[in-house]
Amino acid sequence: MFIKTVKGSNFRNLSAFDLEFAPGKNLFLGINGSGKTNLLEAIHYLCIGRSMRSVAEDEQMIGFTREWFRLEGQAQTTEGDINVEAAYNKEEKRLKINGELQQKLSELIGRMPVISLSQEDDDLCKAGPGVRRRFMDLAISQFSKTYLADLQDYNRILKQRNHLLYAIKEGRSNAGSLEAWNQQLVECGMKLVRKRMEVIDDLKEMAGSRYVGVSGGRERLGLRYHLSYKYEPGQPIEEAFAKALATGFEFERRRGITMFGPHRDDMEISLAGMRIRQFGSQGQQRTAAIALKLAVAEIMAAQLKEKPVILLDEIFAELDSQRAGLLIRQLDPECQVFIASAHENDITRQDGFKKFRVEDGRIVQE
Amino acid sequence: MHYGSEILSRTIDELMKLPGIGRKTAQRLAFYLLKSSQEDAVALANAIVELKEKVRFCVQCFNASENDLCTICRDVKREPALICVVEETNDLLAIEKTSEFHGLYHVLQGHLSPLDGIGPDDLRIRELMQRLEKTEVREMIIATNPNAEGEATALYLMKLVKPLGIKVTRIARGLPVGSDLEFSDEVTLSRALTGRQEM
Repeated sequence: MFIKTVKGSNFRNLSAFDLEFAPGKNLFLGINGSGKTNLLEAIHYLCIGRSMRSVAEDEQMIGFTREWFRLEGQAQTTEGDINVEAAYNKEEKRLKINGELQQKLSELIGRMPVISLSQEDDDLCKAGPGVRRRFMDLAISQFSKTYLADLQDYNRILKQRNHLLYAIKEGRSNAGSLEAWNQQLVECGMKLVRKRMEVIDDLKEMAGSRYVGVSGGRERLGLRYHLSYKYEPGQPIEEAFAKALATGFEFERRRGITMFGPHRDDMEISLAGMRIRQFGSQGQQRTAAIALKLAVAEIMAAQLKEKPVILLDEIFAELDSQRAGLLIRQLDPECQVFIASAHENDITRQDGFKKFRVEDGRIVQE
Repeated sequence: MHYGSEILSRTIDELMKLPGIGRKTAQRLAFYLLKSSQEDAVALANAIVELKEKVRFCVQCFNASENDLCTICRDVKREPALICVVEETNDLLAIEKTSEFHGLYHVLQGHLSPLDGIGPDDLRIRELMQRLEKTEVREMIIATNPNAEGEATALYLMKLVKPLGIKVTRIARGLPVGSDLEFSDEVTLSRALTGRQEM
């Protein structure tokens, strides 16, 4: 799919804009703080109803001293043209698809697949497991509505179970009904675990070859799903999960919170058999993160039969021009790409880029 | 808030205590009542008073009733060995509309929800257990809602009742009748697939 036009008002620092994009490569040029990342964010928001930044509340996206923001975009997909309108006024978020008001924001998910690469991705290899869980959940949700629904169910069950554990800890409740929540947590949690493992299997192959492609090196990138409880090889996972809940009750009761399950699992990333979080260099971590994101784009394209839009935010900043060139060559040429960058470089100077200059929130097509 | 009348603002405050009624709806209802005929308003007021005076819960199944036993529990044509457990009276009414069920009910008056501080002791579960001990029950059908809370309630009851040697069943969930496969959403369809049955 590709995005044809995007209109916006009161979005972050951007002045009202109405832009027409190229189906291929688009470049946003501007100094730091000019608003080029905000423009990428607007595109991301239209695609899945939320920002690509991990810490971004809707409220923060409203321009300074304004009361609301509004975005509208048109895209061409394999299922025909789609028009999306998103608006937020500090009280409610409204989403319209082809003029029809949607009750659920999740209606948008999967129709306009998007993947974003930025320096924040380095956290995938550096930061705690929460970042990697978020990465898996967001990626899989975009191509599996069943996964998204299971994830929402799981979070509901988890919230209820945590409240019960806390009430038990405080002596306000006994543990009589805990088993009923355990059963559901295991049943629903296993759906998430199975899907994540399945996706990681695919991801491993693709990310591995992407890593080689971008780094030019030979190290093998490894991915492994890591459960948050003890697991003997060959044992059914649901059994291990249920056992962890049963034997870990005292531990959970003292904390008043659920300590085992997919909300505490992790995805281990390794390079040549060594954990990248501890042993990887800055460059290796960055390249691995890029490889993972590109692999996700590939899986999404295959699953959805729809090429995702790719957003690249200052991704060249720490890459030498050789690696940057390799990165660009790794991108699926059929994907629409949006690149935000402070400078032109050897790559962007080539033909085929539609260029926009961003200055103090004003966007001008070159 | 100032409405120019103490009685009007009191009416609005009272209406707002009802579930699903916010200030705006309460205002609309209050002004509607103010403009409606004397008879209509009095009829409503009387119905509410009589409701509280004369209607209570059936001592056996906790359905709404004007007598100790509700009309369903008193109906001799119904099969007492078959009990359908529901969360609320509304669910009972929905099943009654099908005319397919000829047993008796048990209304739990809620579901397990630690978030709202509702545990087994806050539901009519103790009464259900006493009832199962006193009467011969062949099958208990659990018809709680197919969401996290309804499912937890069902699992909890299952664990409690199974050891008594009573057959426990759960209502099926899946595709809505009369719909075409191609038009049903992915989530419903994939869950219907998971819950498939052998023919």
